[in-house]
Amino acid sequence: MSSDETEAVVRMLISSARLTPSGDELRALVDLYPSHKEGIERLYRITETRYADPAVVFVAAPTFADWNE
Amino acid sequence: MDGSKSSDSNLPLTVNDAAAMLRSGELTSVALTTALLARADVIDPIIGTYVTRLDDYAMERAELADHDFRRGIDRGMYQGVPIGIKDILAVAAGPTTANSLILNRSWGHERQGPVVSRLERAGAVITGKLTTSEFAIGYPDPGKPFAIPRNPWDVERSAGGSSAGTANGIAAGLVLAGIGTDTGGSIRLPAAWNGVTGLKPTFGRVPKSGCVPLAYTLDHVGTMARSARDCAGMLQIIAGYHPSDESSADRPVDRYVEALRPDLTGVTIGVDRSNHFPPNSDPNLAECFEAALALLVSQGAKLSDLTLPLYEETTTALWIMLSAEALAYHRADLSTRWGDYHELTRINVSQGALSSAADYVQAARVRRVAQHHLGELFKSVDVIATIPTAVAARTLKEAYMVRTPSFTRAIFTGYWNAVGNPTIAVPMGFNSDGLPLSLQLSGRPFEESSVLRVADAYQSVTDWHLRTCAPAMQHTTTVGADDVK
Repeated sequence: MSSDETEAVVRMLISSARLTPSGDELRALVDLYPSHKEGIERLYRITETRYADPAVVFVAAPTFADWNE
Repeated sequence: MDGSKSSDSNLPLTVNDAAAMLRSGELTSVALTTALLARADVIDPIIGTYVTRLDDYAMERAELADHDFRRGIDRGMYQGVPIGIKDILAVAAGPTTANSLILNRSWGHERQGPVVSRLERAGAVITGKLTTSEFAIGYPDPGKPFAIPRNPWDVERSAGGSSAGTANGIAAGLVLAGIGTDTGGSIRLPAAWNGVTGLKPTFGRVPKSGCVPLAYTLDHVGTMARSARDCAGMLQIIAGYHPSDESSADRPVDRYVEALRPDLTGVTIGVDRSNHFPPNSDPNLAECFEAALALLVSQGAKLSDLTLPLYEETTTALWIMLSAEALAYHRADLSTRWGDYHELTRINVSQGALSSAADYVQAARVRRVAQHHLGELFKSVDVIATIPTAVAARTLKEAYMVRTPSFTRAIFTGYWNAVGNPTIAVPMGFNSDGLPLSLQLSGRPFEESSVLRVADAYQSVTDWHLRTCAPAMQHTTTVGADDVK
């Protein structure tokens, strides 16, 4: 991905999230995006995850207990 | 010492010592609390420990503790002991800010969750709400109306984050212990940089309800104090199921203090050096680490070299899930009040927009696979020794300039949040600049007793955790926001 394409992708993602960083802040996010994306791709290359369940559990009978004591 | 008075130099350093003095009549809780608040009058304006002081409430609690002692009522190790609470946990006696202009002050108003209530029932004296990085992420922003937490070993250096006030308050002797939270290292990094002990329990061991969330699947509430023994005593109080937190584990709580013993015969400690000593490591770090391991061997432990499985991938998974969960919590406010957030908070949280929902789930699958591999490793070792960070406390300017990806290359705490295992940071010496360095010990899920035992055994033959930074404080004159940015 070229630097222009990277910037376009990051602008789109940030804009879609309704975030409004300054120019410097957007630049920081553009700069870190390639390593961030490469890190994500590494996660998909771990073959053992192919049939692994995620470490997130949905509880069908939640307690809804108040936390105030 | 007269029980009604307290000379500053005779004050106890540890909760364990304070508990003994309170029971012998050598010291009263009122005298101890008065002395620590007086110390805070002088030191807090320099190091920014407190967001809110609760002096009147603390004195009421101290009087109650003394009254109970006189009536023969003993609620345990923390009765009458001054402690602080990180300002992202609600305490009914005062406001909760999360060090932020954003958090609606009605959240947590006159409410508090199980951790704070358990500490109160144990007789602890809560002296105030302690500084955190905004919403437990990022770094202090000098443009916002909150104190900049400074490191009492060198006030031109960072106290770390996010539980900065708990760590620097203990190191400077303003409180004897406190509550921190740890989502990617926020107990252990400030513990390391301030030369105190910090325990991130197993995920689910301590209920996190009543705490402003950063990342729901990664947040841990834990204990900070000078010693592992003091951390064990506090964990004994706050651990245990509560129905208001679905991730809270409904399983028995060990007797943590009673399980401590200095002999490590039969304990096998795995050692991972492979991922933890980057080129920019502190020059004194490896020597201190090896010396710490040698001491553990002298106490009967056996060492076994290993490599943590999927280290890079698991820490990546942590950051993807942390930033996504944080963005979900903050997006509405970020989109309308961008400038009211601290600069590094909004940059860090915004990174959640750079991953997809599928990436989030894949990260959760990686965490599960890493847990499985780690479980296999823990069949042959009892505890794993690493370091929480390769660098000592950075200057405030360096810390402020840090962006998350580069920073994480010198920080080795997040892996243990992603897998959920109990992990403690323990002082293990000082570098040539006189700054603390730290050892990190991790155990099997819900085996806090194992990491506390090894940490306590180490502290039974070392005094790094008892060193005080008073000389550095005495050389302090004035500091201002210009020192930060």
